[in-house]
Amino acid sequence: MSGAEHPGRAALDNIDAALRQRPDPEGKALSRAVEYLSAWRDQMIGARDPALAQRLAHVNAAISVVMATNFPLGETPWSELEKARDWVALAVSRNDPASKAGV
Amino acid sequence: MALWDLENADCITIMGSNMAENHPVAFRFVVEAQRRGATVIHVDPRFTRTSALANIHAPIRSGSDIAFLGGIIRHILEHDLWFRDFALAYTNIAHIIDPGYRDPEQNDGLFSGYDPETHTYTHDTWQYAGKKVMSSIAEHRVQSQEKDDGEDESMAEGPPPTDPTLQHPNCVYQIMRRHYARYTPEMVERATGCPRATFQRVADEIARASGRERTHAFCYAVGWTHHTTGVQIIRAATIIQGLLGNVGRPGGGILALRGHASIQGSTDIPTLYNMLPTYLPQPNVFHEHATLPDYLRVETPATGWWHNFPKYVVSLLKAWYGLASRPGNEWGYQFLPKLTGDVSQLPMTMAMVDGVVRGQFVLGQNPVVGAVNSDLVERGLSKLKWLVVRDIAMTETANFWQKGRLVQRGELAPQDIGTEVFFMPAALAAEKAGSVTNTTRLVQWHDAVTKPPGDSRSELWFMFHLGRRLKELYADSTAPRDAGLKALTWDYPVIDGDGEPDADSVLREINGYTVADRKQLHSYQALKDDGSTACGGWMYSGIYPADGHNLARSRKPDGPDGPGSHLGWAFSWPSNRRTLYNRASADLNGQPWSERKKMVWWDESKGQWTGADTPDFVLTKRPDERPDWSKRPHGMDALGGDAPFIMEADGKCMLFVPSGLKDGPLPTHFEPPETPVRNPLYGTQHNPTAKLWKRHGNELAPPEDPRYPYIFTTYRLTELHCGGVMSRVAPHAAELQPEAFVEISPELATELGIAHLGWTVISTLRGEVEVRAMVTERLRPFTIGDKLVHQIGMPWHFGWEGYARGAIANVLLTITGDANTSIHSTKAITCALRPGRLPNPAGYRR
Repeated sequence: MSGAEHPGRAALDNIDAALRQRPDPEGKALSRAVEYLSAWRDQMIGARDPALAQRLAHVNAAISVVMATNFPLGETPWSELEKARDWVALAVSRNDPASKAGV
Repeated sequence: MALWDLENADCITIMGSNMAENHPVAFRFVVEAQRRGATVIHVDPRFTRTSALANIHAPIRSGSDIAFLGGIIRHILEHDLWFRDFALAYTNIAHIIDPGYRDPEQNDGLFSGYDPETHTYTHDTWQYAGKKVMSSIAEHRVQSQEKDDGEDESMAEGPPPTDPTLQHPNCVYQIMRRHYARYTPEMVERATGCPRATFQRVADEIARASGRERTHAFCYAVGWTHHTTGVQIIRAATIIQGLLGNVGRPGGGILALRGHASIQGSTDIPTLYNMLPTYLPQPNVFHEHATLPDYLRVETPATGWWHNFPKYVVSLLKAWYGLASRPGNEWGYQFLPKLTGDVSQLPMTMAMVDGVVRGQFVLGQNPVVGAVNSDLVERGLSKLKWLVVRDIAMTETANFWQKGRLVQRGELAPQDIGTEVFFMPAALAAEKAGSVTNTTRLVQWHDAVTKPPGDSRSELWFMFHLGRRLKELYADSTAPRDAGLKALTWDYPVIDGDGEPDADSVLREINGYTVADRKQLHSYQALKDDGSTACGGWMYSGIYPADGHNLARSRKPDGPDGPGSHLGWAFSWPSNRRTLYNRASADLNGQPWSERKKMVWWDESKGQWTGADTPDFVLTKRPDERPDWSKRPHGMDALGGDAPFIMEADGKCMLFVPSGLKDGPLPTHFEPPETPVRNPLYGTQHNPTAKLWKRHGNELAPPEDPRYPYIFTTYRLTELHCGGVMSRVAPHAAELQPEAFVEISPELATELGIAHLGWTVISTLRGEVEVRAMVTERLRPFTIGDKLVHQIGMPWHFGWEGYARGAIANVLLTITGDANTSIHSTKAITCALRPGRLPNPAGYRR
């Protein structure tokens, strides 16, 4: 998976792509976003660092929202995806050791 | 309707089911009806043993059911064959619809309210004029927000506008006449391939089984549901039955034939992601469900029986969270997880491929064989961290990492698959106590007759101990997300040294009890929303009305001179009622439509409803009672004594549905997403709201794709069961159906040079399989317009385990979903077919 070194950034790129394509995005961008977010989540879980707990919770929440956009129940939650995008962007931009490692 | 009530029908149409082969026990009631003089009709692409025993077999192309049923609706309306006294009084045929309503006939297949960007509808123009109707609560409610605060109060202000003369251009009758005007016998023939003379015979027979003295029943199975228009196919049958007065009456109704043990029970006390037990909607984070008062406010309809909704929700929370369910914490409402999106099986298969799912439990399922697009399922399983499979024998799902198609093809290597598989032995039905709920909503109890061998355990054992261990694991957690698990009541007593929980205690909890003194409740009518009652599933309340009195154990059939409702045989929810909406078996005055067709009636001397079945009505509501609109009545007070359909907002059978459906208020013919022909009725080719998930590995062939010219359908065999494990490992069953095959008509076999028992390769954009041919006249080509269309069929039970092996049919299928239910399509896709074998067949030629 290209982007595996910085899965958060790759996820963000794909969320942005999906937002640009709304209201009818290709499923591909959202699927890739889920894929990268999941890889990012797994890295955090693997790090077993309590300091990452909050960020892990945010990434899990973002996964829920991106999946909800990919597989909506009724109305597609675009505004929620925009919020999730900002969470992911914030987490990616944090300048801490974990972020440098792509975690 | 009750299964055994079929014998009271004067005509039975079996459609979307091969009932004689797949529901042989149920089919005896069809045989009995026929013996008494009923006409039996089988509408199906194949000539099966059901067809052989039917009076009429009407062949139709897979996926054209609505065109066929729409033709019958037109026949009934145009020839004025409907049961006027019934339909005018008990259906919404005279209701006037919003002036903004536009029909597909005016918009090339689209109803008003369609948004082409989101592929969804808004319902505003489908409403009764001047009203906002809230739909009956069901699973679709988690998909849409139907009510802003107070909107459906209009239903408490007065009855919907009607025109009993049926002349108003926007009354349901006139809308339906226009909508179905083009569903002529000629169009039916063109769309379905059924000869018009055969169609005409079917339409005549069905229409004739109507009125005071005669009734007609539909029987269906997944041949109706497994389409992107599945809900609307059933709706079309509902319209026919509503028009003919064949609902709630002896021998009348629509019988959902349940495919395997307790499939009905698994939606009642659900394994579905989007419903709480007995059809309460799962809270949704994107709806106004933030608090319990919010949830109850927006989900409680103003009128009809569902106005009791808060009682059922609060009682459920009390059952689940016990002492942790208090008035001060919204009765534990915040413990419930809230939905964000569609996490049903099909999207989750794709999510597995994307790596989001870390682990999966598979109980009583074999998705590598039974789920659609099997190769994609295998890819998903290979991305898991762990997989738990519980079954009675090795399954394809449990050893996909070793023998799967992708491994056989060299796309995956066992050493590269990181999924840790835990395979656990499961107990068979006779080795565990519990209930099954199947056709007729019939809950039947069974005891364990022997202990399971070795380490085999029941599902109840597994879930109980899994829950117990998880609660121990999280006992010290302070995280809010774990509070629900910690609060869950999980105190079922065990009955043996293996720690088997007492299944009886689970049923007692589902029935419900008083919180203060733990007395069993006699009925759901006793439930309260003040925390004084607990109930695990309101519709089941009454099944265990007193200690030691489990009605699911009852086995007392009526004698030959009895009423024939067999109320002493097990328990049908709700209230041990066998026929829903049976108030409709009596006329406006509360008297039976005829002596021959009596079921429930008003007894003036006793001042209550009575009869052979448990009345589905407020027992003391007189037939001439009418709502006092000056008091803004709510709940059942807003329904008169002439409103049998009590779960609907105004108690009327909905021929036209103003709320609740995602794909239109009336059934309309669309082609399946994959089809060899163009929609003969509209430019809109397929259901515009169907769930089509575009992704690699799940591609769809475009309409009329010359690479995939044949229609492919799947079906079951009498001798094998579902995903196959329990029957393919049984030598005698395996001997009867030893290997997979594909049924091909002689015409197609000749055209392609395929010999009977010769090898063939079937391909779709999802995969290809090799399988021997059964050349048979049971399948015939269809003439669709001026085109000859061939259909082939293949049973889906097979895999690489057990004695009876063969290609997995579901490799060929695509993941698509009905707009309302997300159910997959297994009955109508397109494929290619050629004689010969695969160069490297995946896993079957060993």
